[in-house]
Amino acid sequence: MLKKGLATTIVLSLVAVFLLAAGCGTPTGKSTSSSGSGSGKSFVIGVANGYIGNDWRTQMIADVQQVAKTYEEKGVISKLIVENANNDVTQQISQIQNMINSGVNAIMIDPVSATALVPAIQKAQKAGILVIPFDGVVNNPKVTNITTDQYSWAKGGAQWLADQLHGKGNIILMDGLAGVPAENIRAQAEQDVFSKYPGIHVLQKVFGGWAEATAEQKMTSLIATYPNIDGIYTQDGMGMGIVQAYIAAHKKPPLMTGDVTVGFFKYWTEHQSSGFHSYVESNPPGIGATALEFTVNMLQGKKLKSSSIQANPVDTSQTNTVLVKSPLTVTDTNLQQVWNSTMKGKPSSYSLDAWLTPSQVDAYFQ
Amino acid sequence: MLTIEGLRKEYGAVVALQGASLTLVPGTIHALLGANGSGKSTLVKMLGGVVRPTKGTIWVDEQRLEVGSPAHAIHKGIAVSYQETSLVPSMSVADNVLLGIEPTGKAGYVAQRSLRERAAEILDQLGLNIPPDVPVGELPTNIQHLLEIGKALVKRPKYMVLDEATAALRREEVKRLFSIVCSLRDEGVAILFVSHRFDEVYAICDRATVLRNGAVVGTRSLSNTSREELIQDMIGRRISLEPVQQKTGTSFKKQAVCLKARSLTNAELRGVDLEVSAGEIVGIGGLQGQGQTALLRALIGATTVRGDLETDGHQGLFRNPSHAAGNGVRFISGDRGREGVFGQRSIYENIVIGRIATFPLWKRASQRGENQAARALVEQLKIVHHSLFQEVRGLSGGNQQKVLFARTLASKPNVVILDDPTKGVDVSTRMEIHRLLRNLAGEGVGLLIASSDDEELAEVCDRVLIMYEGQIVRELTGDLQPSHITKASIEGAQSEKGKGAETRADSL
Amino acid sequence: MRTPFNLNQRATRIFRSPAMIGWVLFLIGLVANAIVQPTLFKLSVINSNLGLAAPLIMVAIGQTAVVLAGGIDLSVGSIVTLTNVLVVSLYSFHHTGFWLAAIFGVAAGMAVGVVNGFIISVVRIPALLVTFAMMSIVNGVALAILPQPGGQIPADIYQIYGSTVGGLPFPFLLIVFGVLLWMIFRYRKIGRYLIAVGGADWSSRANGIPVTKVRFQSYILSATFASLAGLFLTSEVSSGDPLIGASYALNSLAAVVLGGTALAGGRGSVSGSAGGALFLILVQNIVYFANVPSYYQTLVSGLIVVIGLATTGVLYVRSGKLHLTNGR
Repeated sequence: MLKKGLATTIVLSLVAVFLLAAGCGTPTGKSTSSSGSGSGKSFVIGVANGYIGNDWRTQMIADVQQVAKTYEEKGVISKLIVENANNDVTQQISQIQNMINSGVNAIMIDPVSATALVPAIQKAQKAGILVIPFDGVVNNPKVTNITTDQYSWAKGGAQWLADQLHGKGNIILMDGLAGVPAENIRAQAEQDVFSKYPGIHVLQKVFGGWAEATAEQKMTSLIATYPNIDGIYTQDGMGMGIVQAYIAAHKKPPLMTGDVTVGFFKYWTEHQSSGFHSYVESNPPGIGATALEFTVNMLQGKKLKSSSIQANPVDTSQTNTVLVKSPLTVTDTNLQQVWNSTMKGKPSSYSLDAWLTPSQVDAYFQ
Repeated sequence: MLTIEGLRKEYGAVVALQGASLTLVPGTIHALLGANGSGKSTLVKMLGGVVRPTKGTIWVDEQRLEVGSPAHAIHKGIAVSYQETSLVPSMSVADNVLLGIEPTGKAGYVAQRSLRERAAEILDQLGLNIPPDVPVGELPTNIQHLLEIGKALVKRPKYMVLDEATAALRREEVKRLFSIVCSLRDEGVAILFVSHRFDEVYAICDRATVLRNGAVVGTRSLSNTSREELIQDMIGRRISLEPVQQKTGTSFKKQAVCLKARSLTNAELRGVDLEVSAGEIVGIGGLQGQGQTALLRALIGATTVRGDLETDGHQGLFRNPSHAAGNGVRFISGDRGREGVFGQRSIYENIVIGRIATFPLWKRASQRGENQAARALVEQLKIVHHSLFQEVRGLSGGNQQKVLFARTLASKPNVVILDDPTKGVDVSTRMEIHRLLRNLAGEGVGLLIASSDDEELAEVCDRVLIMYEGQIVRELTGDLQPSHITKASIEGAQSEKGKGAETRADSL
Repeated sequence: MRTPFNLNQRATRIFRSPAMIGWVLFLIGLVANAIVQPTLFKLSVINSNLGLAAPLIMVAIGQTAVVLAGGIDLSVGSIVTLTNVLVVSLYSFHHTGFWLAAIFGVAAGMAVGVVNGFIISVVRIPALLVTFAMMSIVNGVALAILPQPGGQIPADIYQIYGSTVGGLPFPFLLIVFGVLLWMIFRYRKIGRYLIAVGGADWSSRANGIPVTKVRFQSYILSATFASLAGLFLTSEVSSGDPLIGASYALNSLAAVVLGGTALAGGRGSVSGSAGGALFLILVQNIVYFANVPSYYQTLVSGLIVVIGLATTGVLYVRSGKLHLTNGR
């Protein structure tokens, strides 16, 4: 008797949980079918984000939601569905399939894998769904990847450093992580720039893993080894680590490119007057929001200029990628303004952020 | 013909069987008798191939049996019904009965229908009316034992071994089993019948082999051997054949009763009454598996039991061992490794845990003072050690046992219940432990000791209770002799309370 | 004479069979899913769900074999990965034919099972340690074979995987194939002996069952099913990824437990595990279509699975009141 009673209780409570979950869902509504068949003015957009475990990605999703809100108010987007996979391909496939099955108009994907999602993406395209991979890229000729132009991003900083040094001096390259696609592209840009200046001598190239602590540790030993460092080229996430190493060595940091964190900006604003100069180009989490702008435009039937579509940086045989230039560059001249308007008072994990405005995005379309 | 030649089994330094030989003749029922620890079970397990002998040979029909291989034993026509059963609880009745000898059809698939048919045949033969697809684990004990016998029957063996097969059976089931066994004998099967019930042995067996301390004493034809002669063989020494004296306490002066149990009853106990006085050592003897362990566990609340219990300052049964400990009743298990010491912990921790365990769960376990007390106990008990903080598993068995005593003493108990306190302990430590037990009693603690070692009981106890089939059938006092205890244990079957067994055999 | 036991008794038995738990959970999941997702029974939707379910069911079948025999196999996920990267890199970088690559991939997976089985049953090292270590080793090998996601299998392979054959979703046919493959073992002696060895190892020995051999084979079985799962998954994703199988070790164990198989061994069924695996797939749908905010999805799906596990646990304890007189 007891056995039966208990089992029933558990089964009932299980059902209750399901119903509760279902009930929670209804108010926000599933207007998917209506919007799909409608005038084409109100869209359901799914965002399949491959990973949510760091600040950058969290900020990226928040940006997407912020931009989506303005479109929701205008009635262009009826619903934005965000799904996060835990770097697990099968989970992301399942989420994409669920989006297909719930009849979204477009799926934006920050992909876990450049290749494994292809069948799922083809299914979506078969169902007439627009697929926009962003941030990372997917190797499929029929999608339109939206990603930051890593080459021009890295080139900007390197060029600035070379100019500031007037073409001669000893420099350190503090790069990210060997073997990662983005790193390969950036390294190419660095080499292309510095090889033009015979007077610039690269003392050493090290990998700081885009991590502050690693960068600090590596820099500390470099300071001890080379007394004559004139400049440092570094990428995002490591600038403050380098500064910390100099502070610990009781030295002033030389000319260096910086990073996008609040911590670095704070140091820069405080030491600008005492001769610290830097250059930051944002590699913004806002790429998601930018991709959303592109998605909406494409859903509305606009066509990209053929000049906007370039070779896929991972698989150059495919021409399917919009390389978005960084929307914001910070130098000594606009530092105070950027600091005051976007960075001041933000938590230390916040990254310098920006995304293309609708009119900037328009420029990519016919 | 099955011949056993010089079978020997050693477990480390312990010799379980020292060169046993016997012959099973087709068409006969052969009894195997022996007191506790005489090596019966070891012999049976060797026949079944579960235990590999250290030395010796088994010949089956003039061919050497591959030892240590149950499959080969089965192949040679030996089927064993084990005392502890060899069933898989989660599998169905039919699957269990034919486990290991499933009929297979074409392509190697198990022939489900023929399997069920053969199982049904056996169930019919045993008079069991149970659905063949119920999991065996859900069936009562007696039916499980019948199935264990069924498993042997279904193999149509030439040699069948029944190890205490009747112990868990009801009277009419025993009767049915005997008729089956007798008809098998008539068909020319040789049966080895291991039992402690003399009535049953005399009812069906032709010959009997007696084991003592792992050696064969002799094989006798039962038609011209009396029970007394068999008992003599089992005990070994020449003793008076008059019933054991039953004096009432002359050596021990009664003090206040500190543990009193009334009509304890559960699956293994059939109404046990018991009293232990302060300063008294009461022993529990009897053949193995007559409910001794169940009784100890019932007293400390480790199993469910009905009945009544009274101790100093507490009325009623204990809910669990912790409840018992909180009321000054401490238990020292015979299974040191699993239920006694914490092997990877220090001597110190092993000692103080006994006291700490009765504290409220969140109370801070203060170290102050404990250290001193533990050190004093270790000195007092002469535990051989190099540090109070060394791991207990590095100590000898005897020293581990002493650590358990120290733990018990540290908690200042009123009653201490012990199960086989000197199992696997060397002779000198054994004497030390016995002295310790006497000292403990001298301080007014009541002790209850179960032991399969009759010499031990005779040596330390004031009074010995003999258990048989879940009851206390005898009480021995006065000048205790090991042989008396052994004899009383064996005779348990024939004493007043064992009459049930007698009538059962007579009615066959 | 024995009376034939009545229907009611038989019904009780079926209800209390361990597999039932998995299927009841699956049905509840199905109903809940259908409520939040009205399109659930469209062929394309069924197809895509089964496409994800097929690999998990395969791994769960193999895991059940090991768990029934009283073991555990944590290396199944890495075997899935190994098969995936081997098939893809052999096909796309070494230009073997696809089917040759597939045979190699499955054979490599089975080889891992042979090593597992040997170390566990013959050398006698605990399964948890062996398969955990094996997981790291095999994952490392997979990373060495294919350090970055990439490669591609022939398009017709993954198109077949996503298609229907005779009106039935192709992955469904693969699941049927997996179950039939299992039945080949289940209804031979090995199928019974897995349960016997897991349920009572001494008794199995006493009955002449080759315990070591049975244990050994259970790991080969689980590796075989895991590498077939790797092949299915490769067809689903069309390319190689050195991290692709990571989630299968724990998910397969969850499926096995949800399906009413006792982790201690000796009791359970593959059909229950299949139900458990399908339930796990449905939970993902349910949290999606119930509009659970993405940040809470992991929490909610985790809770649902925990409730499912608790239900199984309680039902199991309640129904499986096994009492044998002599515990060993």
